[in-house]
Amino acid sequence: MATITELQPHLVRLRERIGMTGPAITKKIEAGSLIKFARATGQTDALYLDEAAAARGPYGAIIAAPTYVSIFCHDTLADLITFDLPLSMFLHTDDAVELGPPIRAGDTIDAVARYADAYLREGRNGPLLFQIAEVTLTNQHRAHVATVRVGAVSFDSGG
Amino acid sequence: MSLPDLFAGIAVGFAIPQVALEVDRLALVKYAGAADDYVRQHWDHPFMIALGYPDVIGHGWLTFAHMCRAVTDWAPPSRATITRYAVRYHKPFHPGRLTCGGTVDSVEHDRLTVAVWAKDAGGSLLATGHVTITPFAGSPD
Repeated sequence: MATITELQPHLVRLRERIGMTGPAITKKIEAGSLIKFARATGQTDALYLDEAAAARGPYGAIIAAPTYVSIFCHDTLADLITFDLPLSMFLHTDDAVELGPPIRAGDTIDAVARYADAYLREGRNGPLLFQIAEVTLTNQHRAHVATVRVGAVSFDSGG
Repeated sequence: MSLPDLFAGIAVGFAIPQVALEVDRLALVKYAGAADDYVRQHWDHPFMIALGYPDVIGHGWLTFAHMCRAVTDWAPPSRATITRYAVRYHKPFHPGRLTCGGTVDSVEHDRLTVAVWAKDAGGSLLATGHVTITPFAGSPD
């Protein structure tokens, strides 16, 4: 199992990333994608699921379920947060999100991630290496759609 | 529309209706496809067993989506807008029974915050968070 001392060079390498941004990605939001996500997360409201009903509703189109913004994290963070470490496991620790207007079918969303922090802690079963990044989403009107702050921890599972 | 009009009689301590469901491995696969999240912990059973876990782990974002659903089932998007949320995951969730709920923990002039939680079949606390909602103010355009 890696020790805190052995992980220090990795931490130094990660902390050099603080403030760096990854490549921006752009997604055209299709109603089918929003409906599929709503179904997979158990939503039942017509504004998330029914194109005809949503078209008559307050937003004029299907809107994204509240946590749909998470789908931008994987691609935007792929080149920033790394799990290429001498630790066998990583888990998602926390999220904090500020939301603007809901994403609607037909929107075009730009997403860019910024590496925010990395730090080491001694856990009960060995070192814990935390990484934090922030993903910012804007729509075709340049309106802020969401800021998604994501945390992950790497550790040795002992398995 | 002011918040008291929308949630008349709602005070700090009010418990929103709970959401309870079975989240099986198929649900994780469906979520992986819908969210484009193919992290190995969520589908590779032999990999997780080799690491000492009893099963694959549910996506944290899926657990939180159901925690949010407890809020949106109670305050649907035609009546309220979620403006902010935060969640901390305390314990990995393995496929099985998931129960989510929440309690109103602040009511202000134009917003209301619900302290939300998720528990597994054994009653262990999986995640806690806060969801802030405001009355629906109309489409932005």
